[in-house]
Amino acid sequence: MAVVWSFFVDPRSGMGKNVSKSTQPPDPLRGEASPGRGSGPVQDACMTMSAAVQTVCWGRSSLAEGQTGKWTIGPLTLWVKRLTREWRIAFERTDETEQTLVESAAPARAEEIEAAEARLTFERFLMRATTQALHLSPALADRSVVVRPATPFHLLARQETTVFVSSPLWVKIEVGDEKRMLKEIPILRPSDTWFGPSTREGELCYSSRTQARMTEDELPFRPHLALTPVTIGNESQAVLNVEKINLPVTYLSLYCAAGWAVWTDGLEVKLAESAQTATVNILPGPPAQAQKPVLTFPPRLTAGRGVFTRAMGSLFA
Amino acid sequence: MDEEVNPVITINDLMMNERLWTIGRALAILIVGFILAKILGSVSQRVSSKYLDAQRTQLFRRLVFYLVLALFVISALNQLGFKLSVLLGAAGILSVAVGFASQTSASNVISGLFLIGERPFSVGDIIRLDDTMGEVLSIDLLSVKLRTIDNLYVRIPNETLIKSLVTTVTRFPIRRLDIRVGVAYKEDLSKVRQVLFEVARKNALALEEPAPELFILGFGDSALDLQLSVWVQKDNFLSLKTAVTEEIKVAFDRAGIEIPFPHRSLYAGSATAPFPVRIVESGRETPPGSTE
Repeated sequence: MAVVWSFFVDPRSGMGKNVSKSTQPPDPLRGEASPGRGSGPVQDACMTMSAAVQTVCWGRSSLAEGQTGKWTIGPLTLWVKRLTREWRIAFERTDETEQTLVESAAPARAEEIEAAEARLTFERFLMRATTQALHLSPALADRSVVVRPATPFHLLARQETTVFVSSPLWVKIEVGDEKRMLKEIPILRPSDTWFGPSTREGELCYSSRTQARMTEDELPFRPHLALTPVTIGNESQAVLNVEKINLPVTYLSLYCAAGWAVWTDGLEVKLAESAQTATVNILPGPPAQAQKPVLTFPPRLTAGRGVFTRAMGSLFA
Repeated sequence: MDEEVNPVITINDLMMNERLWTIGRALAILIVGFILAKILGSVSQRVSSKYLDAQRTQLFRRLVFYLVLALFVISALNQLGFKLSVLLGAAGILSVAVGFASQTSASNVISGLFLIGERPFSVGDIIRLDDTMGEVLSIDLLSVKLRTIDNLYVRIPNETLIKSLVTTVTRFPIRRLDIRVGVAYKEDLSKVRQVLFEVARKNALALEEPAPELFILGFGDSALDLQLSVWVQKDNFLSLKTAVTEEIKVAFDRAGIEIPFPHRSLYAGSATAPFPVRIVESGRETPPGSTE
C-alpha cells in the first residue's frame, strides 16, 4: 500500500486536543509564562535571552553608524550595512549546499567589505533614522514543506516510530527595538513542489529531502535546516509506506538549542484503524531532543489551541 | 407701432419658452440620470466586488448603469410628450428592422451571453486564440478585449470566440513546460538524461513533483530529438523557460554533449566513383570548372 501522508491544519476546528509528551523535561522558557503560541511571551524570551546567543548569530547584534556586518550561516553569506538613514543588505550563496560554517563579524574586515561592495548589489531600506539594534532570527518557510525521505520507508501494522525530518530555514532581518522587518532570505532556496491529488487541485509547497533518521546521534549539523521530530503511529492493519510528508511549518514554533541546532515543535501523526484518516497533533514546546533551548521564535500562523488535522482520503492508494 | 407688435412677440416668446422649458427639463433629467447611473454603477461595483469576481462585478456595474439610465431616458421622453406604449410599439417594429440589418451584432450579443454563461475564462486570465495570446481585459456583449504580451489592444468578436478553439492558459495553478532539444547521435543517452534531470533539479522554480520527464521524440535528420518536460507554477512559466533553456546549454557545454546543427553527409554510393577533391592553397585563385 503506497501511502502519501498529508497533514492539513484546520484552525477552525476544536477537535483533536494537543497531546504533550510525558517524557518532555520541564522547559525553562515556558515554565513561568503561559505556554501560549502567540508572540507575546515568546518575544520576551527572545529579548531576555539574546545576550546568550551573541556567539551563534541568532538574536540581537549592534552596528554603529557606517559599520558593515557579515554573517555566514551555512551556504549563505549576509552583509548588512548601517548608515544614518538607511540600511543596506546584500547576500550571496556558495554552491556547496553542505557548508556548515557559522560565523559572525560585526563589523567585518574593511577589505572584505570593499570586495563585497564591488561584487554585490546592496538593497537599500530607507527610514527616518537608524538605531544600532539588528535582529537576526530563523524562520520556517512561508508555505508548507513536503519532506521526502531519501529512501521511502515502511511502518509495520500497529507500530509506532519517531523519525527526524528537516526543513529549510529563512533568515529574518529586523532592525530597531521595535523590530521593523527589513527582509527575509532563505538560507538555501528550496525547490518548489506540488502537493495534491491532481494537477488541478493541491497546493504549492517547498520540497525538502531528508534522511528521516531514527536517532538523534545520527543527525548531522546543518545550520540551514530545522529539525522536526515526527512520531508516526500506525494503528491500522496495513503496512504504511511513507513516501512524503507534508509538514505544516507555518504553524510550528522554532527553538534554538545549544550547538546551533534549530528545532521545531514536534508532530504526532496517528493513522486510524480504518487506514482512511489520520490525525496530526502539534506538540507545543521544544522537543526533548533539543538540548537547552535558549531562544524561541513564534510560528507564522497561529492555529489556536486545538489543532485537528487529517490525511486526505483521496491520497490513499 | 411698438404697442401693436409687442403682444405678438410675447405669444411667440411664451410658446418658445414653454418648449425650451420642456426640453430643458428633459435634458436636466437626462444629465441627472446619467450622473446618478454613474454613481450607482460605481457603488454597485464597490459593493459587489466583495462577493463576485472581476468579470461579474463589471457586468453587474454595467447592468445597474444601463438600467438606471434607461429609466431616466424614458422619463425624459415622457417629459417631451412621447407615450411609452407608442414608443415600445415603434421599438418592436424597429427591432425587427434593426435585427435584419445587424445580424452580426445580434449574433455577437447572443454569443456574448453564452460566453458569460459558460465562463471558459474570466477577466485577468490569459487566453490564446490562433496566434493571439493575451490577458483578458473585459468580456462585453459584443466582444472580448485582450491585452497582448507586447501591450497591444486586441478586440475579438464574441462570435469568433464561440466558434473557434480558445485555450485558457492560466486556468490551472501549474503548467508543464516542454523544451525540445536535439543531441548528436554519438551521445550516451543515459548521460544526457542525467544532465537534463540535474538541470531541472537545480532550478528552484521547476517543481519536484510532478516529476520532470524526458521523452525521446524520434530520430531526426541531424539529431536525436528529445523533450524535457518540467512542471512549473503558472506565474513562473516564462522565467523558467528562459532559465532552463540557458541552463541546458551551459550544462551540455560543460558535459561535452553536442547539440548538432542540421548537416548533410554526401555519399556517392558504391556505384559511382569517389568525388574528385583538390586542395587549394589560400590566396591562389582557381578558374571555375577546373577540377582535376
